[in-house]
Amino acid sequence: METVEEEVEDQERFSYEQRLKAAVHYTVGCLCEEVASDQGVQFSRQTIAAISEVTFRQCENFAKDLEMFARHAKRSTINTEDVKLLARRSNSLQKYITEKNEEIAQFNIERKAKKKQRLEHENKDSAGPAEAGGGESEN
Amino acid sequence: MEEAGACFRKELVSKLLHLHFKDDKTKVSGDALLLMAELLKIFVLAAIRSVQQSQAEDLACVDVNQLEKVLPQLALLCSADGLEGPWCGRSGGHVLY
Repeated sequence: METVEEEVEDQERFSYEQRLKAAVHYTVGCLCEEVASDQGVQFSRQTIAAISEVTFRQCENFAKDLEMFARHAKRSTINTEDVKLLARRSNSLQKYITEKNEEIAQFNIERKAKKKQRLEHENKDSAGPAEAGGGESEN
Repeated sequence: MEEAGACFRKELVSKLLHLHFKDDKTKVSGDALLLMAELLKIFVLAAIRSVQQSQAEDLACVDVNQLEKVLPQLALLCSADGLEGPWCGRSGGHVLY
Protein backbone atom coordinates (compact mmCIF):
# COMPACT_ATOMS: atom_id res chain seq x y z
CA MET A 1 0.00 0.00 0.00
CA GLU A 2 1.57 3.28 -1.13
CA THR A 3 1.96 6.20 1.19
CA VAL A 4 0.51 9.54 0.20
CA GLU A 5 3.99 10.85 -0.56
CA GLU A 6 4.71 7.91 -2.84
CA GLU A 7 1.42 8.44 -4.63
CA VAL A 8 2.12 12.11 -5.16
CA GLU A 9 5.58 11.25 -6.44
CA ASP A 10 4.13 8.73 -8.85
CA GLN A 11 1.62 11.23 -10.12
CA GLU A 12 4.30 13.84 -10.61
CA ARG A 13 6.44 11.42 -12.51
CA PHE A 14 3.47 10.39 -14.60
CA SER A 15 2.60 13.96 -15.61
CA TYR A 16 6.28 14.69 -16.27
CA GLU A 17 6.38 11.69 -18.59
CA GLN A 18 3.22 12.88 -20.30
CA ARG A 19 4.83 16.25 -20.97
CA LEU A 20 7.90 14.56 -22.45
CA LYS A 21 5.69 12.33 -24.58
CA ALA A 22 3.89 15.40 -25.86
CA ALA A 23 7.21 16.97 -26.81
CA VAL A 24 8.24 13.81 -28.63
CA HIS A 25 4.88 13.72 -30.35
CA TYR A 26 5.40 17.26 -31.58
CA THR A 27 8.81 16.49 -33.06
CA VAL A 28 7.57 13.26 -34.63
CA GLY A 29 4.67 15.21 -36.09
CA CYS A 30 7.05 17.73 -37.62
CA LEU A 31 9.15 14.98 -39.18
CA CYS A 32 6.07 13.27 -40.57
CA GLU A 33 4.91 16.56 -42.01
CA GLU A 34 8.22 17.02 -43.80
CA VAL A 35 8.07 13.58 -45.35
CA ALA A 36 4.40 14.03 -46.16
CA SER A 37 4.87 17.31 -47.99
CA ASP A 38 7.95 15.90 -49.73
CA GLN A 39 6.04 12.96 -51.11
CA GLY A 40 2.61 14.45 -51.40
CA VAL A 41 1.08 11.94 -49.00
CA GLN A 42 -0.65 12.10 -45.67
CA PHE A 43 -0.23 10.42 -42.34
CA SER A 44 -3.14 9.78 -40.03
CA ARG A 45 -3.06 11.12 -36.49
CA GLN A 46 -3.08 7.57 -35.21
CA THR A 47 0.02 6.79 -37.24
CA ILE A 48 1.86 9.78 -35.84
CA ALA A 49 0.74 8.91 -32.34
CA ALA A 50 1.85 5.30 -32.73
CA ILE A 51 5.28 6.23 -34.08
CA SER A 52 5.64 8.75 -31.30
CA GLU A 53 4.76 6.15 -28.67
CA VAL A 54 7.26 3.66 -30.06
CA THR A 55 9.98 6.31 -30.16
CA PHE A 56 9.34 7.32 -26.58
CA ARG A 57 9.51 3.71 -25.44
CA GLN A 58 12.69 3.08 -27.39
CA CYS A 59 14.39 5.90 -25.48
CA GLU A 60 14.27 3.75 -22.38
CA ASN A 61 16.29 1.04 -24.10
CA PHE A 62 18.73 3.57 -25.49
CA ALA A 63 19.19 5.28 -22.13
CA LYS A 64 19.82 2.05 -20.25
CA ASP A 65 22.26 0.78 -22.87
CA LEU A 66 24.16 4.05 -22.96
CA GLU A 67 24.42 4.12 -19.20
CA MET A 68 25.77 0.59 -19.18
CA PHE A 69 28.31 1.32 -21.91
CA ALA A 70 29.67 4.33 -20.05
CA ARG A 71 29.77 2.44 -16.80
CA HIS A 72 31.58 -0.44 -18.49
CA ALA A 73 34.23 2.06 -19.55
CA LYS A 74 34.35 3.30 -15.95
CA ARG A 75 32.90 6.67 -16.87
CA SER A 76 29.92 8.48 -15.46
CA THR A 77 29.55 10.69 -18.53
CA ILE A 78 28.09 9.16 -21.66
CA ASN A 79 30.06 10.24 -24.72
CA THR A 80 29.85 9.85 -28.49
CA GLU A 81 31.67 6.50 -28.42
CA ASP A 82 28.80 5.09 -26.41
CA VAL A 83 26.29 6.42 -28.93
CA LYS A 84 28.27 4.88 -31.77
CA LEU A 85 28.17 1.56 -29.96
CA LEU A 86 24.40 1.85 -29.84
CA ALA A 87 24.31 2.04 -33.63
CA ARG A 88 26.57 -0.97 -34.10
CA ARG A 89 24.01 -3.51 -35.27
CA SER A 90 23.36 -2.00 -38.64
CA ASN A 91 26.40 -1.33 -40.80
CA SER A 92 24.82 1.47 -42.77
CA LEU A 93 23.43 3.12 -39.66
CA GLN A 94 26.80 2.89 -37.98
CA LYS A 95 28.44 4.50 -40.99
CA TYR A 96 25.92 7.35 -40.97
CA ILE A 97 26.30 7.96 -37.25
CA THR A 98 30.07 7.91 -37.52
CA GLU A 99 29.92 10.49 -40.29
CA LYS A 100 27.60 12.68 -38.24
CA ASN A 101 29.98 12.38 -35.32
CA GLU A 102 32.82 13.58 -37.51
CA GLU A 103 30.71 16.52 -38.66
CA ILE A 104 30.07 17.46 -35.05
CA ALA A 105 33.76 17.13 -34.19
CA GLN A 106 34.74 19.22 -37.20
CA PHE A 107 32.20 21.86 -36.25
CA ASN A 108 33.64 21.98 -32.75
CA ILE A 109 37.16 22.41 -34.09
CA GLU A 110 36.05 25.26 -36.34
CA ARG A 111 34.13 26.89 -33.55
CA LYS A 112 37.10 26.73 -31.20
CA ALA A 113 39.40 28.12 -33.88
CA LYS A 114 37.06 31.05 -34.44
CA LYS A 115 36.84 31.66 -30.72
CA LYS A 116 40.60 31.60 -30.42
CA GLN A 117 40.91 34.07 -33.28
CA ARG A 118 38.38 36.34 -31.67
CA LEU A 119 40.17 36.21 -28.32
CA GLU A 120 43.51 36.99 -29.93
CA HIS A 121 41.93 39.88 -31.75
CA GLU A 122 40.48 41.21 -28.54
CA ASN A 123 43.84 40.85 -26.84
CA LYS A 124 45.43 43.11 -29.39
CA ASP A 125 42.85 45.75 -28.64
CA SER A 126 42.81 45.55 -24.87
CA ALA A 127 45.68 45.25 -22.46
CA GLY A 128 43.90 42.91 -20.10
CA PRO A 129 44.71 39.23 -19.70
CA ALA A 130 42.78 36.77 -21.78
CA GLU A 131 40.48 34.27 -20.11
CA ALA A 132 40.93 30.63 -20.81
CA GLY A 133 38.36 29.21 -23.21
CA GLY A 134 35.44 27.52 -21.50
CA GLY A 135 34.93 23.80 -21.87
CA GLU A 136 31.77 21.99 -22.97
CA SER A 137 29.10 22.13 -20.36
CA GLU A 138 27.75 18.72 -19.46
CA ASN A 139 24.31 17.81 -18.34
CA MET B 1 26.27 22.74 -37.81
CA GLU B 2 23.48 23.30 -40.24
CA GLU B 3 20.47 21.14 -40.00
CA ALA B 4 17.46 21.59 -42.20
CA GLY B 5 14.02 20.70 -40.97
CA ALA B 6 12.63 19.14 -37.84
CA CYS B 7 14.90 17.60 -35.27
CA PHE B 8 14.96 16.56 -31.65
CA ARG B 9 16.09 19.39 -29.44
CA LYS B 10 19.16 18.76 -27.31
CA GLU B 11 17.26 19.56 -24.14
CA LEU B 12 14.48 17.11 -24.95
CA VAL B 13 16.95 14.34 -25.72
CA SER B 14 18.68 14.97 -22.42
CA LYS B 15 15.42 14.77 -20.47
CA LEU B 16 14.34 11.62 -22.30
CA LEU B 17 17.57 9.87 -21.43
CA HIS B 18 17.79 11.09 -17.85
CA LEU B 19 14.28 9.79 -17.23
CA HIS B 20 15.60 6.23 -17.42
CA PHE B 21 19.07 6.38 -15.91
CA LYS B 22 19.54 4.18 -12.90
CA ASP B 23 22.37 6.22 -11.44
CA ASP B 24 21.94 9.85 -10.41
CA LYS B 25 25.53 10.57 -11.31
CA THR B 26 25.15 9.59 -14.96
CA LYS B 27 25.62 12.50 -17.34
CA VAL B 28 25.64 12.93 -21.12
CA SER B 29 28.15 14.99 -23.07
CA GLY B 30 26.85 17.72 -25.37
CA ASP B 31 28.18 15.97 -28.45
CA ALA B 32 26.58 12.71 -27.43
CA LEU B 33 23.25 14.52 -27.12
CA LEU B 34 23.62 15.89 -30.64
CA LEU B 35 24.43 12.44 -31.95
CA MET B 36 21.48 10.92 -30.12
CA ALA B 37 19.23 13.54 -31.64
CA GLU B 38 20.39 12.28 -35.04
CA LEU B 39 19.82 8.68 -34.05
CA LEU B 40 16.30 9.41 -32.86
CA LYS B 41 15.53 11.24 -36.07
CA ILE B 42 16.65 8.23 -38.08
CA PHE B 43 14.57 5.97 -35.89
CA VAL B 44 11.48 8.02 -36.65
CA LEU B 45 12.26 8.11 -40.36
CA ALA B 46 12.66 4.34 -40.35
CA ALA B 47 9.31 4.01 -38.63
CA ILE B 48 7.74 6.22 -41.28
CA ARG B 49 9.27 4.10 -43.99
CA SER B 50 7.98 0.91 -42.39
CA VAL B 51 4.52 2.40 -42.36
CA GLN B 52 4.79 3.34 -46.01
CA GLN B 53 6.04 -0.07 -47.02
CA SER B 54 3.08 -1.73 -45.40
CA GLN B 55 0.87 0.95 -46.86
CA ALA B 56 2.11 0.05 -50.33
CA GLU B 57 0.47 -3.30 -49.92
CA ASP B 58 -2.82 -1.79 -48.91
CA LEU B 59 -3.82 1.55 -50.34
CA ALA B 60 -5.99 2.53 -47.41
CA CYS B 61 -4.60 4.94 -44.89
CA VAL B 62 -2.45 3.12 -42.39
CA ASP B 63 -4.05 2.56 -39.04
CA VAL B 64 -2.67 1.54 -35.71
CA ASN B 65 -3.33 -2.16 -36.25
CA GLN B 66 -1.20 -2.22 -39.35
CA LEU B 67 1.51 -0.27 -37.60
CA GLU B 68 1.54 -2.78 -34.79
CA LYS B 69 2.21 -5.54 -37.27
CA VAL B 70 5.05 -3.53 -38.66
CA LEU B 71 6.59 -2.48 -35.37
CA PRO B 72 8.71 -5.61 -34.93
CA GLN B 73 10.53 -4.52 -38.06
CA LEU B 74 11.67 -1.45 -36.20
CA ALA B 75 13.57 -3.76 -33.88
CA LEU B 76 15.62 -4.51 -36.94
CA LEU B 77 16.97 -1.04 -36.73
CA CYS B 78 18.92 -2.17 -33.72
CA SER B 79 19.55 -5.77 -34.60
CA ALA B 80 19.94 -6.30 -38.32
CA ASP B 81 23.05 -6.15 -40.39
CA GLY B 82 23.30 -4.26 -43.63
CA LEU B 83 19.82 -2.88 -43.26
CA GLU B 84 19.08 -0.36 -45.97
CA GLY B 85 17.58 2.54 -44.19
CA PRO B 86 16.48 6.07 -44.90
CA TRP B 87 19.92 7.28 -43.94
CA CYS B 88 21.45 5.65 -47.03
CA GLY B 89 21.98 7.29 -50.36
CA ARG B 90 22.41 10.72 -48.94
CA SER B 91 24.14 13.45 -50.80
CA GLY B 92 25.33 16.79 -49.66
CA GLY B 93 24.88 17.21 -45.95
CA HIS B 94 21.33 16.29 -45.28
CA VAL B 95 19.21 13.22 -45.13
CA LEU B 96 15.60 14.01 -45.79
CA TYR B 97 14.36 10.46 -45.49
